[in-house]
Amino acid sequence: MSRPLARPALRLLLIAAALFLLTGCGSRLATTNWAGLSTDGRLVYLAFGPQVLAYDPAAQAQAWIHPAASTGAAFFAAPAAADGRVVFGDYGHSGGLFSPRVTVSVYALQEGDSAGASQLWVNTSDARDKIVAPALQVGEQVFLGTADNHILALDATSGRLQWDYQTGHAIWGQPAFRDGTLYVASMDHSVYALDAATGELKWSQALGGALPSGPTLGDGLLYVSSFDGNVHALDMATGEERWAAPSADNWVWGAPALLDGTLYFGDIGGTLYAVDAATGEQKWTQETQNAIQTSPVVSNDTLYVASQVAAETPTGALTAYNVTDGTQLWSEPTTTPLYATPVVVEDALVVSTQDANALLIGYDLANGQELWRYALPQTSN
Amino acid sequence: MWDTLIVNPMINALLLFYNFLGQNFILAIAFLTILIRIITLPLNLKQQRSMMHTQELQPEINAIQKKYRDNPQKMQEEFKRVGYNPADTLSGCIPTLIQFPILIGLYRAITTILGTTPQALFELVPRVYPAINLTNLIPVENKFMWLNLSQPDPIFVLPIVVFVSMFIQQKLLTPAPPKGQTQQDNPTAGMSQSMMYTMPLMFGFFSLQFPAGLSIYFILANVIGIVQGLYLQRIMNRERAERAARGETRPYVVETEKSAAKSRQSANGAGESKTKVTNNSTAPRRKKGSAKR
Repeated sequence: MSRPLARPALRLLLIAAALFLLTGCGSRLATTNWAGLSTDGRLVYLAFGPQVLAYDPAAQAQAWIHPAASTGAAFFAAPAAADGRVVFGDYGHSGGLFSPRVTVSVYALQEGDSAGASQLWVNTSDARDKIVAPALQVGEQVFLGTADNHILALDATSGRLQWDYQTGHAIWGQPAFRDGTLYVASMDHSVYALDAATGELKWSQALGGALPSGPTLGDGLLYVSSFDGNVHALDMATGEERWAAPSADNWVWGAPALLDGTLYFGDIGGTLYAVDAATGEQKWTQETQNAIQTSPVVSNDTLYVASQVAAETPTGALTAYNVTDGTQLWSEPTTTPLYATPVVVEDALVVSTQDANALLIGYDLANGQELWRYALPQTSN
Repeated sequence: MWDTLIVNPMINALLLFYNFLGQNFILAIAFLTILIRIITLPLNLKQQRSMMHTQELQPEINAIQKKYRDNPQKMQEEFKRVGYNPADTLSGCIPTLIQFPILIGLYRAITTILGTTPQALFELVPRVYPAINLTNLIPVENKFMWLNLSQPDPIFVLPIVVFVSMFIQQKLLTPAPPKGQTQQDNPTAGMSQSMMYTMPLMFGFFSLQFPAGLSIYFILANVIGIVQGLYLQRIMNRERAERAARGETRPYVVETEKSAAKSRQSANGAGESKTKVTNNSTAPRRKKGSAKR
């Protein structure tokens, strides 16, 4: 027979178990994302979660890794490298079990002549929510967007805040810069043009959907991909919309790639588009059957697209197309979906995967043959 | 399976309410909370009544258990006579058990919708039913006053309000044990008294870790629970008054208190002792199911 005592005790126990289960279901910070990948043309940089690393494809060796051991912070924003300085933000780390506060940091590392990188500065005071967007380095300034809606301008030497501007929602894309103006695409559906020196708003333009990637700069026009199924072309001076294409039903996530007056982009429905950059007129389309969330990469008249292959266990594909007509040249499967835009380093196309045994894979640009792959040493896992 | 049955419907319900309530996520959470409480109201009321009822009957239950330790059949008969059904002990846990999937589902729904990372958004897309136009709803507004609904409250206000509101709710649901009764006399009441503090502390602590959106659910659910508790208390008081008017007595209470008084007297010498039958003396001796009105 059940004793009456059992009920409150049981209830307390069950609630405690449920709450512990809840905390086990997900951490207080959403600290998962795909790795951020970038290059300075020589090294490949990868923010893969607990650490950020630089890999030298020529030597096929890791150049450096930071921090040396995991600190609890998570890194997924693609590092920005320029003039030997590498800047990136983190997703923040909690203040402990009894503190709801989250500290988000921006880091700058100085790469040495020999292998390794030393910490130049850390800014822990100006970002209040995770940094998803890659930073942009322009001269002695660093610009980066945060998930708490701000675009920050920092002094590249000291990390001190110069100005910040608040948009209506999170910023996930890397800002773009030209002639003293910073162009920022926000998830709040708007594009902002700011004075890079002061942060003063020059113009803003509201579009039909959230803007998950940074703008692509063209000849007097800037192009932004949108969840409304379009790439929008805006006048760089006024923000006025010139055209929007292709009005598809699917989100256009990755920033368009621009080459010789043609824009290339894909949507998450799997269609690849080539449109005239001046008019938005369609040149060709290609049905890939795979969700495209990355930006295409153009090199030597070939278009490279990283995508996801829907299956019970999703996989990925790296595919090359002829830029002229969209004909498929080759395709290589990957064991995990490809979410990050590939980078080109010399004659290799580098992708990052979510497979611990192949954080980075280098493919031959010409034929897609795998050249090398990199896995973390066991001690770093 | 879990996602299909619990998490995804909650995600879609929240997005639907968000869409219809001026794209205000706090209102969406409030509406869903009220809906959940309405759906679980009959079970909750039954559990709360059963809890209050069992605690009132605890002296009788203890006395019967002691008296008929060697005669289980008679014990059952006497339990039935005073209006206690041991099976209620387990059935009373059902509302609590039902709350778990709701709580965990809501936690997952809130963190998925308010996920401020590209991957979180990517994971949201396949969960949304085709009838909902996600493009118009993305990004879901996650700011409310000083709060980022996807993060814990940085200035401790919500954890404190969660603690206070849950404490008030627990206090309402936990009748004070009769005067002079120790935890040994009434272990259930003792446990309930300790739960009155531990539950709010536990939820307050977890509010330090959970997204503010979930803390808001806790607070709203507690406020509704408080209103529900006040209503229930009023009904129980009226029932007590009716029983008192009918002159119903609680023989086991009288018997127990008499023997307790006797033993106190013999222990203290000629101490002052009264066999006092408090207002509990008129407490229920009703038939099973009479709680329903």
